Amino acid sequence: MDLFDKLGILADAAKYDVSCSSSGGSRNNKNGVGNSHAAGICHTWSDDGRCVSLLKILLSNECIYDCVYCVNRSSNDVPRASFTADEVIDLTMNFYRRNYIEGLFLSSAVLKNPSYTMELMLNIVRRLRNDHRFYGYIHLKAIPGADERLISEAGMFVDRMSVNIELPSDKGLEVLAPHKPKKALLKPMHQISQKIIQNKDEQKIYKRANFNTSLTKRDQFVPAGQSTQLIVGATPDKDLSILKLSEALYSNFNLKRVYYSAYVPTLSDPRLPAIIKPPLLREHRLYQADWLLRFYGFYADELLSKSNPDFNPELDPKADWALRNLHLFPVEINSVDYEMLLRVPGIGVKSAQRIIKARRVGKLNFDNLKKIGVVLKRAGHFITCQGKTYETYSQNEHIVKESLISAKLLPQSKKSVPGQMSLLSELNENGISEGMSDLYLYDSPQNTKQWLSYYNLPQDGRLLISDIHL
Amino acid sequence: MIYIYDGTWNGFLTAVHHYYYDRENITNIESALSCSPNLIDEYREITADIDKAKAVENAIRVKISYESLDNILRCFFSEIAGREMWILNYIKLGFKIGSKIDSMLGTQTVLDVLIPARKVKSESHLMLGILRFELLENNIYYAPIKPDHNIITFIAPHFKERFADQNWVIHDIKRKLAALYNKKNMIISYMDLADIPDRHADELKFQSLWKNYFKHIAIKSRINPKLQKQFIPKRYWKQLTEKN
Repeated sequence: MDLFDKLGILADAAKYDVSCSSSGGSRNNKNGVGNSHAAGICHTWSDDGRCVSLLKILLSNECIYDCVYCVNRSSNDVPRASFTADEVIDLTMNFYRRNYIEGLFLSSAVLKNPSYTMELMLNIVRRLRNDHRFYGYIHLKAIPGADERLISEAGMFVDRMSVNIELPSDKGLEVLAPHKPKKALLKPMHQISQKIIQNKDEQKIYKRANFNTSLTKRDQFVPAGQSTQLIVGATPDKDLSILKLSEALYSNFNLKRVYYSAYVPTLSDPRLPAIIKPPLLREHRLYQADWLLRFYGFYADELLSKSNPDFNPELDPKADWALRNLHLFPVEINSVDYEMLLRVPGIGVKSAQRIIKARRVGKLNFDNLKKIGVVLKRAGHFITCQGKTYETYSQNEHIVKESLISAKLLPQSKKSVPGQMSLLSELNENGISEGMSDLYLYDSPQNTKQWLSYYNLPQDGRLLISDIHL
Repeated sequence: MIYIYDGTWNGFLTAVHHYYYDRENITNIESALSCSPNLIDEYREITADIDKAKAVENAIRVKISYESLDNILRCFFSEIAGREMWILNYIKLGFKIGSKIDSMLGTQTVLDVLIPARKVKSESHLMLGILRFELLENNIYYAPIKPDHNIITFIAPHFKERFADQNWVIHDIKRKLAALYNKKNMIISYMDLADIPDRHADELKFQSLWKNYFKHIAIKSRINPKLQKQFIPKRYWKQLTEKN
């Protein structure tokens, strides 16, 4: 089979893994090729609108397991293929050098046994880093059940590692993934989180002993942290239990991200729910709530409860929470604290930060808020500006609810789509502008036909346009 | 009075310098590249002067802030018509109130500069991802781009760091502007890159592999072209290997 067909098969097999992020860690280029930016960079968006940042492939889809929900299950009749190490390296390097990708996301079905598979993957990442001096982003799947030493070693080469928890409850796993008890999935997650903490402590000691901190960077274990993914809608689990699970993963295992993937019916099996369309809205609500946990200071119990265990399809979780807590509003924009500001529907992290910054130098009115980027259609129901209420303000729950629903029902704007866009501002604020001062455009328009000579003449020091034979 | 400058950053700053020192009443500052003079207005041609430009740049940095200088710079390179007077008004306000101006996020004078600056920032970030290199037969990686704003100086340093061990060119074909990097130094200048060599023998193979990957990575039951277009507007597709 040629490389072209293999790539098709093994990309197909990997695409249900949601994570695309290349953020969280920064790695410098040390006389090789590549680096990674803390904020991550998206390189393209596939036809389903998902960001593509990494070359996401399976090393092999020839699996010994038979998990019911998985396209790669051993009993499924799909074409099978495996890459060689050279093929993966060749693709990664060539795609990277053309700026198609930010790095590699390597996962695999279980070939022969977990340790054997892990060893093959370890070999690839080791060669990329050591032989090819590749400093781009690498996300590696840890194979549950693989030898601990292999996972530990691989962690020293990669930026992020992840173990998919697959399904939100033990019961679901029992039915749909009989080879993967939850305990076996949690074990490597636990191990990775322990190693990260241990490695950070060691770094601290090392830093204290030596002031040269740049030396320590090389030996970081999984610097961009670990993430996981679970499938939504393949089992009868409620949103509440999913969100509680995520909350626990964030606090106990220090996870960077939990990804949710709407169950896409690719197979039919009596043990799977008979659905035609993936539950995309539910997935979207979970991402919104996940954001609220990580950046807005909310707790799972505030958003959902036993008597209200699923998200409202009509309203986003924050607006839903605000409606149930109308007694806390309105808040005065010019004095309310940051934590409460974040809880106002229509105000996101960015606009909350702008409000805090702007009100230091003067009182804000509604016109200012609009210019700052606050969505007044939504926020107007929950705030006052210098004691005044917005034109559509009402304290009647039904009126507020109606107007929030009509303002926005489904994800439309960039802001509401989960992904890396939200990190964009971070990069911009930190700036790619370093070293700008000597890079201003040369002043007068020049014309050069012999531009290629620039690549033939070895030059030292700063080169002027006049040096290259106009 | 309308000031005409040569279209460069230094030329523009020189015009600002003249505004402050010659105390003339000006109604506009226009680039010679886009200006079409009429018979009614009075014009004065400003010659770029690097010392005067540096003096203004320094004054903005010291009397206002580095953040403001950065925003003004980005706003200038947005090449949006009318930006010269927006920047001048911003500078006038900034010299009065200092770095406080960076916090006045709800004020129109400030937003006039901030919004173009944000556009430049976001296009620069997008371009870091969607710029595509092609390998040429003489082992130079070549990337043609057609950005809305003049962003080459903002993105080139990123590629210098990332692809430090390869020869590359980023070519803004709209503006006849290029950044050249030869594994040691980088230059950015207006130039007409004629006679671009042919593609490397392997180039098409990797392009078709990439296109194949791109086709397979989409999940059919989730196809969402509207969302896709929101992230990469169609005007960028022509330069995008997987989309053209």
